[in-house]
Amino acid sequence: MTAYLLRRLMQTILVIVLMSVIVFFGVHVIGDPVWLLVNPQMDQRDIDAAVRALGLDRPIWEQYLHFVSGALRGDLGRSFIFGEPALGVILQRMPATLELAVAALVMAVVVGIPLGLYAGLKPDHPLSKAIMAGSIVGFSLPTFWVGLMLIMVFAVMLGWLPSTGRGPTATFLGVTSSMFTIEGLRHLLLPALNLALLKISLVIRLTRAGARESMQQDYIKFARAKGLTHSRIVRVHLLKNILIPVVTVLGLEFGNLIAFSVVTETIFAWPGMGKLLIGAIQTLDRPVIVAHLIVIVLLFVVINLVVDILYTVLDPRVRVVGQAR
Amino acid sequence: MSVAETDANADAQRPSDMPVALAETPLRRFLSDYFASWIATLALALLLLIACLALLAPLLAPQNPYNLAEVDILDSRLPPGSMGMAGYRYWLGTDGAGRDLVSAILYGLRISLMVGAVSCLIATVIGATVGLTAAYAGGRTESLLMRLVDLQLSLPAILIALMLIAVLGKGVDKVIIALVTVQWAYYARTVRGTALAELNKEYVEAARCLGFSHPRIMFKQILPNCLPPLIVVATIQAAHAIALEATLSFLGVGLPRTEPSLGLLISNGFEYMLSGKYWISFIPGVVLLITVMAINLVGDQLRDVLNPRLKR
Repeated sequence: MTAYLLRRLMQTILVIVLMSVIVFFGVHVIGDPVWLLVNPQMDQRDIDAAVRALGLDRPIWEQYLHFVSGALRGDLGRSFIFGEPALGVILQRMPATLELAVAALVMAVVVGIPLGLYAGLKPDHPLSKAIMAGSIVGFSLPTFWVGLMLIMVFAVMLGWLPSTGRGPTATFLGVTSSMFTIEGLRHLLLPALNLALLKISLVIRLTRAGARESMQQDYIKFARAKGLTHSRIVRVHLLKNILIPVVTVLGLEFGNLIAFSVVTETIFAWPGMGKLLIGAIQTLDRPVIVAHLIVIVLLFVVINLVVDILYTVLDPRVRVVGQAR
Repeated sequence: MSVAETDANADAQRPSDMPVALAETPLRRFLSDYFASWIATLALALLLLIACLALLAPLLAPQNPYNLAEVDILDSRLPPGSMGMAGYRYWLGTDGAGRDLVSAILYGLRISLMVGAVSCLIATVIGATVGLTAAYAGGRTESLLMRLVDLQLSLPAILIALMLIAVLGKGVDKVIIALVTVQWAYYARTVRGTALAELNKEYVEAARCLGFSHPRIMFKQILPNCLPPLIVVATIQAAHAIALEATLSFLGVGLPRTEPSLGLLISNGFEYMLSGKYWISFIPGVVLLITVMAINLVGDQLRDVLNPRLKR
């Protein structure tokens, strides 16, 4: 287990270093941000001063080393646009993104598992077929278009829910989130649903496949033979076994949710990291782009690592394989 | 690629419909398996129709939406079915610049499908070569290539695409590069898996004994036997490519304004949506949805038909 962990950690660090090199050099080789930032009326001396102030006159490898030594101290450069530390700008917006992703994850579980279970237990029922058809549509629908349709129906036509921005936040048990105010929840509902839709389809399919497979297993037959009620078999015996793959996949999908929140945040003007990234790409705010991608990659590999470890803890069968490796 | 292929299938289908019992060939069996599902048949027909519409857009469209002489700004944001100044009806309405939406969608479809098909084709070639090389070479080459594939697949597609766009900038070629980079790994993994199984078969051994060169064995002997799963992956990935391109264009970091794909049309309509002018975004979105779903349904059926484990 320790050797496995160490190897995974080494891989993780390697990925992060590789990404930082690709992103940093890529971003710095293409495009010259000076012209976006200086006033066209400035004379050459002022432009040179601006270039020096931003450190853009140094050779590129020196800029990279400077960047790495800074990064190790938690300093990923200053945003050209905001004039603040890039990491600070990103971390400021991170809670909003995490809130959105968590809300979407909860929705995926709460909606997906019951529907998937129903479709798995009664595969021939018309409702099950409707659920499965719905999940195919859910997979095919482009996220951004669904977002537009949600705005159109619930905000413009019906006027039930607000279409943009994040509601007021409140602090509960040390966590500050808009989930704790009614207005905040109203703002959260549409973007979270938009982000969750793909995951709901995924959970439905996973749960259904798991249910259909498990119902054939001997332990279910045995539970039936013992005379347990159907609902007890489903709740206790079936659900526990279905949950292992669902939990694993959802854990891995959490990183995907954060990455995909770029789209949802842009549509719903949600003040998160994703919206920041799109803005930074359009204004060529290099420190923010680099810092954002590093933060996301970091977040992502950490999630993958944690899920892998959790998986080995959850499922004893995997643990054996993990040790053998 | 998929267009030409499905065309050929449609032509070859006629003999199998004849009541006369014909000798069963693999192709006929494949076709009758495929057309056994009416949903898949419908999806294929729809896909062919969409491809034809896109190919013939300049002939079918009532106006060239990017020729300023033909577009009248006074006609902007008309609802579907309105009469225009030029004397013809805008069946799907007009957008913010007064372009006929039917024409804009036909031209947009053309660009979306082109970007999807080209990126899919390049990714197939790269992915198949990498996968074959990994399987054939084995050893260190294989583990290095497959580590790269694992790394690629562990990161979400949109993240990689955004990263590349941030680095490369906008443009049709840049978007295609991003899509190829996102996709090649799926092909590589699929082809390697199939090729590993093929490598142990007698015909490969026979080819080796005959003294064929390595590239010849790889591409002329093994590759054709890896085609069925490759085609399935290519179909599904083409749908992904089209959706991803639309997403990037919608975010304003994909295709430039001069190459308006469906995603860009939807994005243009977004600002009018809040004032209730839904059709500018809604209709291109429906077209995109139908296209992606049709490709997915065809891919699903191909997977079922080509899967040896489900052989009847």
